[in-house]
Amino acid sequence: MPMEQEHLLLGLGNALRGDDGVGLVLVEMLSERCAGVKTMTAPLAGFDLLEMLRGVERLYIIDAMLETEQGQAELQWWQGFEAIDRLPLLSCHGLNILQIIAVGRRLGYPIPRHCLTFGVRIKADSSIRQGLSDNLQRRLPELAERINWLIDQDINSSDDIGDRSCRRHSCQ
Amino acid sequence: MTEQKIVIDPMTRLEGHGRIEIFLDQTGAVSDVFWQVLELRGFERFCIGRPAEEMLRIVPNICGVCPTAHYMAAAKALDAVFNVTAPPTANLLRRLAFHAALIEDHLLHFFFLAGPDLFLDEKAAVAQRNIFGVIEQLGQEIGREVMEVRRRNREIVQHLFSKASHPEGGFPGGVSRGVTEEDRGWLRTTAENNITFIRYALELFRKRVLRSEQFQKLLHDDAFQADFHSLALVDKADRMAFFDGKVKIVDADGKTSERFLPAEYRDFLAESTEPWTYARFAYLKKIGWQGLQGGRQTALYQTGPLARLNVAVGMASPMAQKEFDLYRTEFGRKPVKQILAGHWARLICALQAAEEMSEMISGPNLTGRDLRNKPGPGRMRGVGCVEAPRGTLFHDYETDEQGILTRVNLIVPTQHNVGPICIAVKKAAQAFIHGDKPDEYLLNRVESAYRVFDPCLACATHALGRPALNVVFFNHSGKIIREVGR
Repeated sequence: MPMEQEHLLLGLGNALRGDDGVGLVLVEMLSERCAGVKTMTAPLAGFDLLEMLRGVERLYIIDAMLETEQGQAELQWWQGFEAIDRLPLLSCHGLNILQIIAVGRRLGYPIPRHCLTFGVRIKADSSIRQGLSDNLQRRLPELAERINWLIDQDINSSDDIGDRSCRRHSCQ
Repeated sequence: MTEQKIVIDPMTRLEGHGRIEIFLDQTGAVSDVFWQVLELRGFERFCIGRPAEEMLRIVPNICGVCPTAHYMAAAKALDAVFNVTAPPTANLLRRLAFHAALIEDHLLHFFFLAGPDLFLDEKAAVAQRNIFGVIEQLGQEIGREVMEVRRRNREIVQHLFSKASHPEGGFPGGVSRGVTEEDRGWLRTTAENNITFIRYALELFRKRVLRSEQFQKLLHDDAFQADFHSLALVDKADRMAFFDGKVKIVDADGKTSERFLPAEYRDFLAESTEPWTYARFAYLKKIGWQGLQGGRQTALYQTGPLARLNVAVGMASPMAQKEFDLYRTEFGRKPVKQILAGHWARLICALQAAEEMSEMISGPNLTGRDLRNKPGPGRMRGVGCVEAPRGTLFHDYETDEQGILTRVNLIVPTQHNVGPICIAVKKAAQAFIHGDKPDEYLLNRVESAYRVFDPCLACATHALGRPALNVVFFNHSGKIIREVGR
C-alpha cells in the first residue's frame, strides 16, 4: 500500500516584529482548515527545519514581504524552490531555508519536490511589537481564505495555478 | 603609502552578527583589529519588574542555539531565590536534558561550523568552505549521522521539557515531567549511540586533522597561541564538571589563582564595556580592567572546552580520561596555549557528557516519581551556574519580598571570551595579513581564530537582525578601502 503523501504548510516570520509575523498568524488560522496539510511555524530557519521537511512531498510557505507600489496586504505566490529566495530569509548557523533544503538533498533525505511560496506584502517597519497592524488584521480572513483555496487547488486540481499576484479586489 | 583598514562583515559560521575591522598602517601591516558585536543586549533590563519564576519561560528565548543551558542556569538560580532544592530525580532529569543539549551542540560545531576549517584544504574555494564541502569530504553517511545524533538528543530535551528549541515546563524546586521504565530503552540507545559516534569523531580528528600538515602548522604557529587565565567548573576532585561544582581559575602557568562558589562570582569577576561593541568584557576583578591587554599579566580569561581542560586535573569518566591523557601527551604541558586545540577539547568534553548521560540513564533515580519540592521562604537572591556548550554561564537574580525581579545579571560564555577572542583575532591578523588585498584563505585563517571559541553573539547581546559577519579594511584616514561580505 503506497504511503500517503505528506504536505506541509510552513509559516515563517518574527512574531515580535509586528506585521513580519503575518506568516505565523495565517498558518495558525489555517491549521484547522487545510485538510490533509500539516502546519508548522518557524520564526527562524536552521537545522530544525530539516527535520520538519523530511518526508514532506509538497511544501507550502507563507511569509511577509516588503510592500511595493501595488499596496499593502497584496498576496503573491510562486511555484518552485527558487521563489523562496524572494523572501526575507533569516537563519541561525548561517543556513536559511533554501540552504537547508539543499543540505537535505545532499544528505539524501526525502525532501519536498514541490513548493508553493506565498508572500504577503507588508509595510517596512523595524519597530519591535507583538501583533499585526489593524489594516493587515482586517485582511486576514480574506488572505486565509484565498491561500486555503489555492492550496486545495494545488493538491487536488490538475490545473497549474502558476505564479500570480492577487490584489485586494481580485482576492474575493 | 597610507594606512588602510579591512572589514570582515559578516563573520561566518558563528551564531549572531558581528564584524571584524582591520586597520593597516602605512606599510600595509596590521596596526589594530576590532572584533565587533553589533547587536543590542536587552534581557537584563526588560526582565526587571517581572515575577522571578517567569525567567524559566523567558530565558530559553535568549538564544535558539543553547536555550537548554539558559533554562538550567535559570532553574538553579530560582531554586536559590525560592530556597528550595530539587529532588534527586528532578535534578537528574535536568542534567540529562542539559547533557543532551551539550552533546548535540558540540558535535554540530565540530562537524559543520568548524568542519570546513578542519577537513577542507584551506585554499578551497569560499563556496566550498561550508557544510556542503564537509559532506563532500566526509561522505553522506557521516553527515546523516551528525543529523541523527542531533535529532535523538533533541528528542530527549523535547520529551522532558516539551520543546527542544525553547524548553519549558519546569519550576523552582523541580520538573513537571518524569520518565518511565519504557523510556529507559530509547534513552539508553541514544546514550550508546552518542558514545560510539563521539569516539568515532575523536578518531577522525586524531587521524585526519591532528596529523595533517596543514593543521599541525597552524596549531603550533605562534599566531594561534596566547596566554590567558582559564575558568571552568570542577567537581570536588578537581575533575571537569558541567552542572555542579566550584568555579576554578588557573593562570597562564597553570597555577590555581581562584576557587569559589558560583554565588560568590561578584567577588572575583567584573565586566567592562568598550565604545565600539555591544558585547561586555568580563575580566578578573583582582587584577582590574586593563583594556584588551594579553600576555601573562592580563586580566582576561577564557572559558569553554579549552579552558575546561586547562582547569581540570582530569576527566570524570574513564573514556574521556583516556582521551585526555592523549591530549596531554600531545601538548606536553598545561595549560595548553594553542587555541586551535579547542577543537579536540570540545570532543573530549562531549565524550565525558555522553558517558555521564549513560550513567544517569542506567541508575535507579531516572524513573523516580518525586519530581518537585515546595519552595521555602524566599532568599531574594539566587545565582545559577552551568558549563554551557561555549563555557561557564552565570544567571544572577535579585527580587523584592514579593518575588519581583529587581536586578538581573547574566554573564554568558561569549562575554568571558570576548577579550581573548579580540586578542586572538588581532594576533592572527597581524601574522597573516599584509596589505589590503589578502587572499581569501588568509582572511579565513583570521576567522578561524574566533571560530574555535564557537562564539554566540546572539547570547552575548540578544540580537535582532541578520546573522553573519563582515570584514572591512580602512586606511589611516578612516576611509573604507575594501569590504568582504560572507
